[in-house]
Amino acid sequence: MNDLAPILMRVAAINPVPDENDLPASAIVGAALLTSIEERTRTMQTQQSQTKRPDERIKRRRGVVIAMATFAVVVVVGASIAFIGSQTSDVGPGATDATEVVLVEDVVTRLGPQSMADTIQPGAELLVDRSAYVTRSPERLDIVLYADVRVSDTGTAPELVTRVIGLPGETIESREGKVYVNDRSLDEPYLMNPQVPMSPFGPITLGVDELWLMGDNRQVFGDSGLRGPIAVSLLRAKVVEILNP
Amino acid sequence: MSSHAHEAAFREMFDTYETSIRAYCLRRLPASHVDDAVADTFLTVWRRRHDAPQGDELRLWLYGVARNVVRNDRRSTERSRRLRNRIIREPIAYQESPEVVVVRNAEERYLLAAIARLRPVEREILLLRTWERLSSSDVAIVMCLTPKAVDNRLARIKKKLTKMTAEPAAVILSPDPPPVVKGGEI
Repeated sequence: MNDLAPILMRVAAINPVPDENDLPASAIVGAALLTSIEERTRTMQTQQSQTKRPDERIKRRRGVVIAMATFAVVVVVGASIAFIGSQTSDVGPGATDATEVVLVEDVVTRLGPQSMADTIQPGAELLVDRSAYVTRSPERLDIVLYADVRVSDTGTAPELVTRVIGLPGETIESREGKVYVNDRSLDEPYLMNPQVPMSPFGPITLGVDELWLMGDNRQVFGDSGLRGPIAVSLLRAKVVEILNP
Repeated sequence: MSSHAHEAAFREMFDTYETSIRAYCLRRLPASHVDDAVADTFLTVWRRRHDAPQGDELRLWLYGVARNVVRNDRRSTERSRRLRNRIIREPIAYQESPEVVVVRNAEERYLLAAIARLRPVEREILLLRTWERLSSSDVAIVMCLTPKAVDNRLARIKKKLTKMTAEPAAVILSPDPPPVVKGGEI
């Protein structure tokens, strides 16, 4: 290993399994695994030798699987089209097949449904994309669900709906009733009308994995206003459609 | 070879290489997937036992099979998550490459972020070289590349990693160009 360049040595040093002879429970699991492989291979052999026309059985089974898969795809696509077809307002691009509808009461009970007023009205349904932040980073002004782990850090934390205002590394400040990002004022046409001047805070510089989240109703003091910066890893979904009643 | 002899040979191969393959999978998959991945690898090997090379190349060939199994696992994981919205219960950590999970908050987070940003083929070359400790020519066999191509890629990877870790903020912060304030006048 000494022939490696320094940067490669650093990569080698963070090997999650540096010593192959020191694997967890490898001996026991390995033996059980071998037995299971032997059983599986033996079953395969028996099938091949006993069935007169092995192709037929495989084909039939494959047919069932294909029929089931087709059904599942039709249901999912059909449901997505139905939801997207009934959209009333467009929040952002990228509705994928991972969308689902949740009742807004379900997700904002802790802050009350007013925290995103008037963008989200009481009784609205949200179409959310739970895969949105798996591959992409959040963008400013995304409406998101995040997990409120403050309440319970085990099991299911309640999810709150809010808006992304500050991105990692940025400096956020509120003065004279306006929000400043990196010392430049943010135009916020979506704020609740009539607007309530917001209390000053900051400046606060966000960490490399932190966001500043605030609802559109600045009368309600929640999200980052209450808890400060929120870890990117707590994001659970992007709201892609709002179906107000 | 009789079926009995095949089985004995298979068992010997399993005993010899299971640890390496298990370690390979542990480095790349969530721990709960590792047993299945190892089993799938050896099941594939059993089916294709007539293609298996002899001697030293056998281990490299096994890495190649395991690599495909791991890729399939990632693909099907991705699919099932999309369909079932399981991410709510298995948050971001589930999606990250395992190395990111293992040392998530360690001091080498910038290096990890840089590794995560490499292209999949580059990442595999890098990890085979540094984690499986294969030589460049062995990496070439696993990846079906020429040794020269592996060396060229490694040189490029080194440059990329050095650059990305020298400006860590750029790695973590921006999937795209530096954040620009959107949403109106600034």
